[in-house]
Amino acid sequence: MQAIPSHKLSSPGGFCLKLLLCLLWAQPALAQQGSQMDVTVEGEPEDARAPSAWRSRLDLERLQRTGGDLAEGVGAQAGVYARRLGADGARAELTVRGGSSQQVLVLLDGVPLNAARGGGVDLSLLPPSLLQSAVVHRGGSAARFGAGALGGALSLRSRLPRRGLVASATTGAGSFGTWRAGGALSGGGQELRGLLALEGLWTQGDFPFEDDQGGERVRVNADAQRLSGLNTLVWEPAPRWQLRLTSLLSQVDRGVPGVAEFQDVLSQARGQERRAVLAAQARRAELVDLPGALVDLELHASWSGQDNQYRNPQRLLRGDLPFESQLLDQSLQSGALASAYLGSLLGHVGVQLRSEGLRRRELVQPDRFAVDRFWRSGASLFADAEYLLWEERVSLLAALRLQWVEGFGWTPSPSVGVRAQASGSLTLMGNLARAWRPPGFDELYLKQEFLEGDPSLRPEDALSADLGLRWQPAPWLRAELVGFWLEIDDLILFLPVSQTLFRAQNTGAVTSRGAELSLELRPAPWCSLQGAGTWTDASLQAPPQDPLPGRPALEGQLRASLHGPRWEVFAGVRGRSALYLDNFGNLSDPAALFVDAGVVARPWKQLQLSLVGRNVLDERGAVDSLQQPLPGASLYAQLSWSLEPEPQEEEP
Amino acid sequence: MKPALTLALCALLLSCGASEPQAPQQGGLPPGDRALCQDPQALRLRVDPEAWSTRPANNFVRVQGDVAWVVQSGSNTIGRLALDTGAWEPDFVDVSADGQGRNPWDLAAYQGRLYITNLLTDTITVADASTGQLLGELGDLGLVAPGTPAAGQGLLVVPGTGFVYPDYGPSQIVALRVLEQAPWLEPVALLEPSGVNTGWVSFDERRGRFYAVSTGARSQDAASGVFGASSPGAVDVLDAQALLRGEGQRAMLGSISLSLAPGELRAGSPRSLVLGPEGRYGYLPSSTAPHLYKVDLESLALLRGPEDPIEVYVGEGNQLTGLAFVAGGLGLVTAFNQDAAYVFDPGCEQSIAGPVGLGTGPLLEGALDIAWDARRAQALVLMSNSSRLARVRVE
Repeated sequence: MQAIPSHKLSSPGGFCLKLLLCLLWAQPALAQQGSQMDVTVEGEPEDARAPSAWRSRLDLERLQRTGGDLAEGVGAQAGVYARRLGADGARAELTVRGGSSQQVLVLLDGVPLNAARGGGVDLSLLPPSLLQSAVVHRGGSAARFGAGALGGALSLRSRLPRRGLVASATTGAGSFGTWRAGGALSGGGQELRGLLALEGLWTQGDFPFEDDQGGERVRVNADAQRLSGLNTLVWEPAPRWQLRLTSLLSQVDRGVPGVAEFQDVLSQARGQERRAVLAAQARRAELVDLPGALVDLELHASWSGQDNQYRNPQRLLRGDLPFESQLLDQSLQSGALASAYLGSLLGHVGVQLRSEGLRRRELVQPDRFAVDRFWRSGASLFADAEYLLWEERVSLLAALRLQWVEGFGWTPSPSVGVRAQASGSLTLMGNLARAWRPPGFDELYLKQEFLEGDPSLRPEDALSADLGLRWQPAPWLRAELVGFWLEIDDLILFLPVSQTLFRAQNTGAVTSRGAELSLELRPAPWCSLQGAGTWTDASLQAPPQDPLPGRPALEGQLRASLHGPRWEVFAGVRGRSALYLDNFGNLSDPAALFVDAGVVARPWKQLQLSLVGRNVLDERGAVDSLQQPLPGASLYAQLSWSLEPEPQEEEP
Repeated sequence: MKPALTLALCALLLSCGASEPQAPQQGGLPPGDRALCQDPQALRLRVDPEAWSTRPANNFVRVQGDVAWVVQSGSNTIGRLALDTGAWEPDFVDVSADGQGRNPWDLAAYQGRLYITNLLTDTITVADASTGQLLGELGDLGLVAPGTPAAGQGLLVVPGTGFVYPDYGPSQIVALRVLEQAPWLEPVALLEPSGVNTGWVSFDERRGRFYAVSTGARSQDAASGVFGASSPGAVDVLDAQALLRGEGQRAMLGSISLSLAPGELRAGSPRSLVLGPEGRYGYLPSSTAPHLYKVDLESLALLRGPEDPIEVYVGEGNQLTGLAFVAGGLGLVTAFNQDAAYVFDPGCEQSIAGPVGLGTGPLLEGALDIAWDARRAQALVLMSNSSRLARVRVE
């Protein structure tokens, strides 16, 4: 990799100067307007079940306006690093607070999307246009979601239908032969309403990049064709009753270009992935309504499936037998949650039952597939409570999840939290929790020529703590500073045990500590600044304490925007320090800086145009994992049309 | 609520039994293993495990004069280490400069040029050893999955393992005359070796011979899960002058078979033949067992084979990878599974010291190859998983 020439840095420098001028110019106006400003930093609404949690809500509207994907959104949050294997349409995962991608639990409407075989969740299959909300929960407070949330959790809510007729359509095109189109139709009344949304992405993905030797290359076999759809039906047959049926289907057919040094032997490798979630939810508000006591009840049942197929007609080491495999993950889940409000006490009690399975099918001879099937069941009991003290300025929280997974018995995941209003503008929050992750089926039972699992693996066991301050001295300024510490025992990794075999092993303990800083500033109605930065020190505990790969020590971004009623101009800078690529702290990718800029215009009320440049400095040498290059400069233009009724109250 | 809070706190405390961090095993033996004999006075070894970083998936290190060459198959490059200064150029030769991944396997440095075997393209890349410039590439040589070549007496001899997934097909040995100009190499013989998986050729300058080693097929035993030898190994002895004269198969002076050892699944699978300190004997590390095998190069007889191996250590670790004879006629043997080296005394046919740790931490770094730099009295050890080149100073 080559360092960015210094002359290229002049552009962000100029941008910062302009931003500073913008802020200085805005100060007198702020002094005059004071608290009368109608522009405020909204911040993150409290989570009734975990008010001490450190959470970040993604701006999904902005992502849709600019053609950004979910990985771009989560990667902009403090404490989160989004890892990509290429351009639009390529696999993308997130890591939180130094954990791995499989140590983050991803849920859609409460349904875990993490595959039973292990591994992280591919965010590229979840377009923002199908989502109502996306919230990243950092640290131990996520343990309440269930096993697997060691670093944190990403909680997604599918898009909800609205009353009245709502229609929208979007189309866009950009670099590397990318085209995106989507639309949504929503309608209904007080009692029954529904939504249908679709989005497709087509990309050639053939971006130029710079290899390790400084040679100019073009990424081949990086095309992707994705189609995603969401169907939601909400029925409110009686006051305080709501039934909701949701189905999400997403599929992608894409090239799997593999490592950049061997593009030719992987030039025909293809992957087809399908993900489906079917969920039914019934909610009865105020099931019990007595003086001083209120109880809501929620029942849910869901099925989640994931079908991954891979085929490469070329064996890496020749041979006529193609490499062909299929992995089919399924899970069934049902449960109940009761929420009780008893004076100054707010509590929840719930139960969940879950079964998950994997069917693995692999071509081993020209006419024979080897098939393996695995299945296991589980159950959870959980309870949490919040107690308010000192005129509700201090909130104490306690939660306990007891989870049973077949083969691993009952495991408790307790957590405690505190939230204290130190002054009108300063809030102190801290959390301490234990989380765990049972080994996935691959880690337990995989049996391939060079890879094998180990049925005797122990679960990963984590202790997580954080403490931080939230400062909001004025409606237009909000800042957070959080320190975190995460210790994971029995980390599971596939590691070589001989020259010809990698085996899943409990590797030992790892520690990740660091600090997160978030800043949101809206000094004037037409100017805003958002930033997030993270310092992470994640390493094996055993000497020489090698750093964990894929977690940069420093990463962050800053985004400034100037906007009016019908326009927005924005620019941002994203950067990270060197990224380790192996388990030994030996191979690394140098620090990288990316600058984005764009403009959004709404010439008519129902029409919106946007033009966005990403990585405009054309950094072509960066990777997110060994020999998986990231794209250079790209341009994307989008046209959106929407028909919406007058604003109404948001759905609960 | 207070009972709930108390309960949660108690559960939290009970559930966070902190485990002690595990001490790193710097080349320590796995439980149950033992070295056969130890004599710490034999050699004083100073290990610098992080002397240099290589590109990923390094394969072999070769020392020639004041230069060490490192074959880095994962990046399609050959690294050049200036041994006097320690200057390291990881991408000195880029065999994929045209964008095609070739997966270089090994090389022979000879008469100012590098002859690099490419596993994926069945070709030989010729590069200038002083500039790294690519001079040419030869294909259509009848080689399938070429292995470790050797050069001498105006010849380059290259083995073809014949590996075509999932099985080993027929192997080949190709002899090429070295030319002073393009096309740089001229085929003079294509031979059929005695065994399968012929992956290693070494040159015996004193006798004017090449030794081509067939490792034999390897497979995983269904019952035990042990990965071991499933067909015999062999050493074919080739006369250089006869090869140059184009005598073909008649250039083969003899063959030494390393038959399987009944009941010993790991025994066998020899790697490259390494000449002993006085040149009378040749030694072959096993790639599936902690064994060395010994052949008499005068009588072409097997002295210590898979049924009667020289045990470098006893235990479950199953792979020796490299052997180099260093100062005092002693050998250094690398054990892949232990991140360690053993000192081998050919006089008593035993390891006399070890394990000598070569790794830096608890994760297996995988000692894959070793080369001896006599002028500076140092051995260079390639750690494949951690992409490092370790230095062992011998005092």
